[in-house]
Amino acid sequence: MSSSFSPIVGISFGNTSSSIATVKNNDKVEVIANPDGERVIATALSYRDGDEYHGGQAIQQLIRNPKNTIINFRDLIGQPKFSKLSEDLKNRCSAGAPVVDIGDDVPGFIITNSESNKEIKLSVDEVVARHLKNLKLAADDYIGVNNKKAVITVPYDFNDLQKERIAKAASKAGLEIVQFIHEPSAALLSHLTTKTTSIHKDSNVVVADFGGLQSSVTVFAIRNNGIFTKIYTESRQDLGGSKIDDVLLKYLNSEFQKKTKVDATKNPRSLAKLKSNAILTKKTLSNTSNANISIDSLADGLDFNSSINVFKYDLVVRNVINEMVTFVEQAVEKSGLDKLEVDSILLTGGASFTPKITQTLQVVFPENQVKVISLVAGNELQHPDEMLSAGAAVQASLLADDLYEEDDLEKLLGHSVDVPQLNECIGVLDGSKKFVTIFDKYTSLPARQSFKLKSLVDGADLEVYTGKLNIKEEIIEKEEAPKKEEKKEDDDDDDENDWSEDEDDEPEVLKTKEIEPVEKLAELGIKATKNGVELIFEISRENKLKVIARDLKTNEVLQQI
Amino acid sequence: MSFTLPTLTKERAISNSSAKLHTTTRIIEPVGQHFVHHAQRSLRDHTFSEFEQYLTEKRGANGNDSSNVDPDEALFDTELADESFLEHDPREWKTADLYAALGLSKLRYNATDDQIIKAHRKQVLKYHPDKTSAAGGTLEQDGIFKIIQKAFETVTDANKRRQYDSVDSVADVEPPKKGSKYDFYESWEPVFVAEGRFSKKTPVPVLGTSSSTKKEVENFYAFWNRFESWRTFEFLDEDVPDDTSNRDHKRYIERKNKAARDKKKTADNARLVKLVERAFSEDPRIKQFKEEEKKEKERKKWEREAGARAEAEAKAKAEAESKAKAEAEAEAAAKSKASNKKAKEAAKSARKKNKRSIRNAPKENDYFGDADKAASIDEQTSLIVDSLDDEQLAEVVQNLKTDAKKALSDIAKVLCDNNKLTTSLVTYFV
Repeated sequence: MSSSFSPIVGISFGNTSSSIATVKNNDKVEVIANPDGERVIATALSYRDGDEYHGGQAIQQLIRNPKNTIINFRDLIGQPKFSKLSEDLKNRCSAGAPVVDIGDDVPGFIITNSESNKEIKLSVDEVVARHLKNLKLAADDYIGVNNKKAVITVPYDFNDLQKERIAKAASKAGLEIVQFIHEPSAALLSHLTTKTTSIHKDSNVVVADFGGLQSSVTVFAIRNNGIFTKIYTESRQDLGGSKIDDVLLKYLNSEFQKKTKVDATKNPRSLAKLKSNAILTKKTLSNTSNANISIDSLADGLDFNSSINVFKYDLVVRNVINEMVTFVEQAVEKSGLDKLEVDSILLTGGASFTPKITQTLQVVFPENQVKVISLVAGNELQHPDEMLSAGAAVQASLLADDLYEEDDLEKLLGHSVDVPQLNECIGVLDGSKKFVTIFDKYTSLPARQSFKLKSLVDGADLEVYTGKLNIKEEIIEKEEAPKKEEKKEDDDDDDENDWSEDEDDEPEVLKTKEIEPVEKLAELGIKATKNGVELIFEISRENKLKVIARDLKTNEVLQQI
Repeated sequence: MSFTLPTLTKERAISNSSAKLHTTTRIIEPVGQHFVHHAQRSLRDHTFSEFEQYLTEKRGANGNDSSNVDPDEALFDTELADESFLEHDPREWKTADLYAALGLSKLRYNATDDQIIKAHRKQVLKYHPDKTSAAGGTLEQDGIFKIIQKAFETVTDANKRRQYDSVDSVADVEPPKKGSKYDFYESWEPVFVAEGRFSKKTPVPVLGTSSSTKKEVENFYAFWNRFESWRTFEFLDEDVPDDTSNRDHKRYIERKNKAARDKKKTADNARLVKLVERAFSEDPRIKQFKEEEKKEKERKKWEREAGARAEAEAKAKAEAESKAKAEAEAEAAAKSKASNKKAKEAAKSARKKNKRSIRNAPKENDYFGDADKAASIDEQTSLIVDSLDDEQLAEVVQNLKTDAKKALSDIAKVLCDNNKLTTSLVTYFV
């Protein structure tokens, strides 16, 4: 490592949790733990006796020291006027220090220093700067150098002012933001760089991000080996992990009330205790089938002891889970894609630890067609709440690479973000007259694909067509059902007991996707050759199609359009 | 993706329909390697093949040659460093050179995880009992293999590896002998590189060369004076007996180990402090900086004194000036005094002359025809003269020329009016 080399760190800055990651020399992404060993660091700051607490330590202060504990402040950045804040944003902070007007209509927090009994006014920008500073310190300690540059993730709905404010706060903390990247694309990038990825190079992927306070669903088309195009995105401010917590909290409270006739939600301190235990229970049930809850002196000096198993839990939180799954379904629908066209669903964000989300999604989307990727599904090594920072780190390491040194970074990143993309797919007809896609819809131009064909003893016909996707629906008989892999049950049954019989009785609708050729673009004949042939398809920026057939051994160009 | 194409049925002419492809401009996400490549291509206006060429050139320049030869291979030992390994008792594996056992004696603490795995595989292929017995040895001669396995176990565990690296004396570099002649940079650089491997903080600053700036050198010594080392000496611990044996004895050994470790650590820290001190005292750059500083100081002093000197000069000059000025003033004063005196004398003589002319006026005018009263006229005239001031004198003298009597009587009148004379005294003129 030369001394001038400065690594760029990747930061994900969420409402409830943040994390920071870097790429080590051996191309491994490492999520950095803070001095307390937390890799996912709670976005919280707390002040007590003149000391500052950050992350998990700050969250612990929520019970005893709520007035000096600042939480959920991310979305407040770039909100210039206190009077224009939405009630929702204000309510978020209510469990900790309330967001107030600190003068001149600037939203901020008031912290009391219990030592000197002085009130300190902190603007939101200042809080963000302090938070980032703490993250930076953790990274500095871990890597052993003074990190000066970072790539940070932001949600899609962040406007330029909000980004600018974050950049300013970061520079206060000693970090230069090299690039802002969108959270879903960071998650996708991080997943694609893992070795275990099951996502094809060209596919449609839904990134469902279930965070603490908000959720977003983004439909991406991955084309040209790895260029992402956002087809559709939607985010909801009211759906997320904390909603699961709330439902669980209500359930636990009702259990408590059954036993003691005391409402634990009346007292803010009991509420905070119950809340932190609800979160703990949720996390426990993501991994085990049973969780014990034991809270000493929950309310009125009464203890609370109970246990809940996974089935009960699934039942309790069913509504929220269904809402999340419906949200994903609707987003796919709005994106104009059919469920069959979705190749994978990537779950990210802390709430996606919940196994029920994965299970429900697997049921709702056609089996064997759509792959749900989550930690729960067992095919993913990465923790969903570390994906964002990992993705940012991957991007950061890319930018730090010497290969791009000579190009102006800013120019590079801002350049050619808007590109022409194909509106229909282009492919060739294979031996059985089936359409083989070469360039899918949403492919960015210019594009190139090459294929290697084994020996062509008889030569070959090559016809290039544009194609159109058809979803075929056919009703099939029950005997055929087991043979077909691609099936979709259309059952709205009411009774569980005779559900299996119902399935047999009701006709099944088989949906298959098929692409039919529409318009012939070009044709050529390739002469017979013993050696293999490489076919290269290229579409220029001016959408001119070019096909080259090249002999693999002699490198001789056999045919060319 | 693979597919088969339909066989060539007829001779086809190449045709390219004029059908235009439909496109829409959309925003793509500026992330990922493929985006960067795409952006570079359009920035440079490269075609795909041009860009590929550019990339391979760049990679080649960066040394990431994608040729099939593994660069690591060259770094591994080709032969066992020491034949005695074959006889080494595997129970005493801790005393063996574990890196040499893995064939990493050149890389040692610098070996990466990948390199360790590769090297281990290579050694296993060579020294596995199955191989050696096939080559004529007996199965019992597997001591070396056991050591290799132990070494691999130690080196792949980050914690154990640190413990081993801490006591890996082969990697230590001795500082040059005191008093011997040596090139400072050449002989100290490896010493500090070797010591730097224990640093908790990275990167460790380099010793540099004679052309390093003062700041760099200062940074270097500041780093080493505040050096934090993770070096531990657990590897040299005496084996603690397992639980089944005497518990007291076990604790005694543990305590002994800890004391020994602490002692070694303290000694090591003291050694490092001395080492840094020595390097500092022998560093030619420090000497140079000191000299420069001294010179600078002298120069500054000289400059400061130059200021004082200039001041003194200025003062002397000012003094001389003021003196000259004073002298000139004195002279001028003397001169004016003299001229005053002269003027006074002149005035005096003028007065005398005037007085005389006035006194003589009656006589010259024959006492205005009253010669009999000459005595009293003279007396009265001299009275008038005595009571006249200089101006009146001049005036009277002027008037005398026209009419002496009138002038005298006029002035007598004036004098009497001013009560300077009584009328009775100058009866003749009044």
